[in-house]
Amino acid sequence: MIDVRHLYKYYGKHAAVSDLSFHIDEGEVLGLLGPNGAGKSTCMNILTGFLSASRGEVTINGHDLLEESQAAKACIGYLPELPPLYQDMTVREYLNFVAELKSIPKAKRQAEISDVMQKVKIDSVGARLIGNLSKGYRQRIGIAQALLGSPPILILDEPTVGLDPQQIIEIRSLIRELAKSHTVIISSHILSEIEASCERVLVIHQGKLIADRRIADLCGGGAELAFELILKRAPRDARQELEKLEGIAQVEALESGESEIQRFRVLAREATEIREALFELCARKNWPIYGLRSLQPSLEEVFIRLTDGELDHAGEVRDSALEQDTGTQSDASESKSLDPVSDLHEGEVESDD
Amino acid sequence: MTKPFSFNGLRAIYKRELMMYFKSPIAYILLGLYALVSGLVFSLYLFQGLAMISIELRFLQSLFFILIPLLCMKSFSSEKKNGSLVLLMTAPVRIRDIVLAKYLAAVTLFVISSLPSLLHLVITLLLGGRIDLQVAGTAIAYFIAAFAYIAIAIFCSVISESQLIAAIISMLIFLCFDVFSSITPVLGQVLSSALQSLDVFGFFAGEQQTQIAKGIESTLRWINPSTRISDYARGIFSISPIFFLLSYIVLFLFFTCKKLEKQRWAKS
Repeated sequence: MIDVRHLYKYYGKHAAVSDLSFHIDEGEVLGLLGPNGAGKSTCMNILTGFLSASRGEVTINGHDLLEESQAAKACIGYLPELPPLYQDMTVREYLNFVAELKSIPKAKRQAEISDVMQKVKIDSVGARLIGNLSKGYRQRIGIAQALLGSPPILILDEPTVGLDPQQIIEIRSLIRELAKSHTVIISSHILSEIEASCERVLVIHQGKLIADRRIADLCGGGAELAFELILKRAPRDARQELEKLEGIAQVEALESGESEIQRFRVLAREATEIREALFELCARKNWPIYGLRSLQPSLEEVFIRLTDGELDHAGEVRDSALEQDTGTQSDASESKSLDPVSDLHEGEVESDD
Repeated sequence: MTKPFSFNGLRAIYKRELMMYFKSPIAYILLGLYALVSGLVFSLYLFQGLAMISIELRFLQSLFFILIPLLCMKSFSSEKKNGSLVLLMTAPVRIRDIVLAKYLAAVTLFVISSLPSLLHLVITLLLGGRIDLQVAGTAIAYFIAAFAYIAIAIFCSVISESQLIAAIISMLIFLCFDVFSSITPVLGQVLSSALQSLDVFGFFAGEQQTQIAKGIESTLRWINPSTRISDYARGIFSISPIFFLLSYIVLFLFFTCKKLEKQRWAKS
C-alpha cells in the first residue's frame, strides 16, 4: 500500500530524515514513535505531499508521489499536528469546502458529510463557528476532514495531543473503529497511545529508523520472561528451591526494605509459563506471596534504551533488558499502563515541537 | 475519484475566498469607503453639470495602492498563519489551481467594488450623456491595470506570513509605480552614480552618466504597468499594452506558484 525507499530530507546540512525505508500493507495500523524533533512529522508531511523529499521514492497505492501526485494524494486523509481549520467558518461550511476540494460528487456530498460528522460525533456542533469550539472538537473536525472521501489511508499526526482523558479515550476508540476499514498511520511520542492503537511500530530517532517491529516483539516476545516475586518469611534457601523449578533459568535475590519480606527476580526459560509452578511451590512450602508481577520491559523502557543507543541499529533487543542491574530494572519496569490518567502524566511532560 | 482536469478544487477555493471575505466587516468598510469616494468624485462633477467618469476612474486608479493591497493581503498570508495551507497542498488539487482561484477571487472582489462606477455610467446614460472612446479607454485601462496590480499583490501575500507586511510591500511597489514619473530621474541619477563609485565600467564622462540615468529611467518606465496603459486613457488603443499587462499577470502568478512549490523543498 505504502512503499518508502531510502527517504532523505535535508534542511541545509541537517538531515531531518535519513535513509528511511519501510513498507506498509493494506489494513495495517502503524505507529510512528519518536521523541520531539525525531522526524515523524517531517516523514508524514513528505508522505502526504506537503513537503518534498530531498532523495528517495514514495509510492502510495501504486502511484508514485512525484509522478502521479494527485492520484497519490487522493488516497490519503491527513490530520496534521495542527488541524488545518478555518476559524471563521462553521463546521458544516468547512466540511463542505473540504468535500468539494476532494472532488466528492455534489449528489453524495451532504450524505457523506453527515455520515462523517456522526462518526466523529460532531453532528451537534454543525452550525457553530470553528473558532468558538474547544480543542477536543477541533481535533475531531480535523479527523472528520481526513475521513471525507473515504480515503483508504489515514495519516494522523499526534491525534490526541492536548486532549483531556475522556476525549483521549473517545478518539482512541474512534481510531480503533477506523482501523477496521482503513490503513492507519499514527505518530506520537506518547507510548501508551501507540501501544493502545497500533500493531506495529516504527521507532524514529534523529531522522533514522532504529526499529521496525511488532509491538509484542519489541517488548520481548509473547511469553512473559522476567518476574518479580515478593514473599513473606521465606527461608534462606528459598532462592535455590525456586531455581530448581523446571522452566526457571535463574533466580536472583533483590534487596527489600523490610526484614520479613524477600524479593526475587525470577527469569524464565524462553517460552515457558512459570507462574503456576511458582504459585504451587510457594503454596506447598507455605511462603505467602505478597506480589508476583511481570518485569517484561515496557515499550517505554525499550524506547528509552533504543534512543540512548544501547540497542544496536539492526533493531535487535539485546538481552541486556534482562541482565541489567536489579536496582534500575525494578524502578524502570512498570507493567504496561493503559490508564488514561497516566497518559495525562506523560502528556504533561511533553513540550512544544 | 479525481478526474485529471477537474476544476473542483479551483471552484471550491474560489467560492470559499469570496464567501469568507464577505463574512468579515473589513470587506464592507473597504467597499463602502471605495463606493463613497467614487460617488463623491462623480457627484462633485455632476453638480457642475458634467459627467466625468474618466476622471472618476483615473482618481480611483490612483487609490489602487491602498485598495488592492487591502483586498489581497489575506490571500495567502492568513493560510500560512492559520496552518490551513497544508490542507490545500495535501488535497488532490494543483498548485496552479490554488493560485488561480485566489487570483480570480480577488479580481471578482475588485469588480464588485467597482460596481458603483457602473452605476454612475448608467446615470450618465440616463441623463443623456455619451460614452466616448476616451471613457471606454479609461475604463479598460482601469480594469487591466487593476488585474496586473492584483497579481503583484497576490505574490506579495505569498512571500510573507504577516498580512501587514504583505500589504506594506505591495503598497510600496504600487506607490513606486504611481510616483515613477517624479522619482525616476532621481532614481536614475542615484543608480548611475552608484555604478560610478563602484567603478564597474571605469570612469564615466558626463554625458555617459546622463545617458545611463536616462536608460534606467526608461527601463523603470517600461516596467510600470500604469504608464503602459496610459495611452488608452487618451483614447489611443493598441494591442501591445494588453499583451504586456497579460504577461505581467502570468509572470507574477507563475512566481506565486513557484514560491509555493519552493516551500515543499524547504522548511515549511
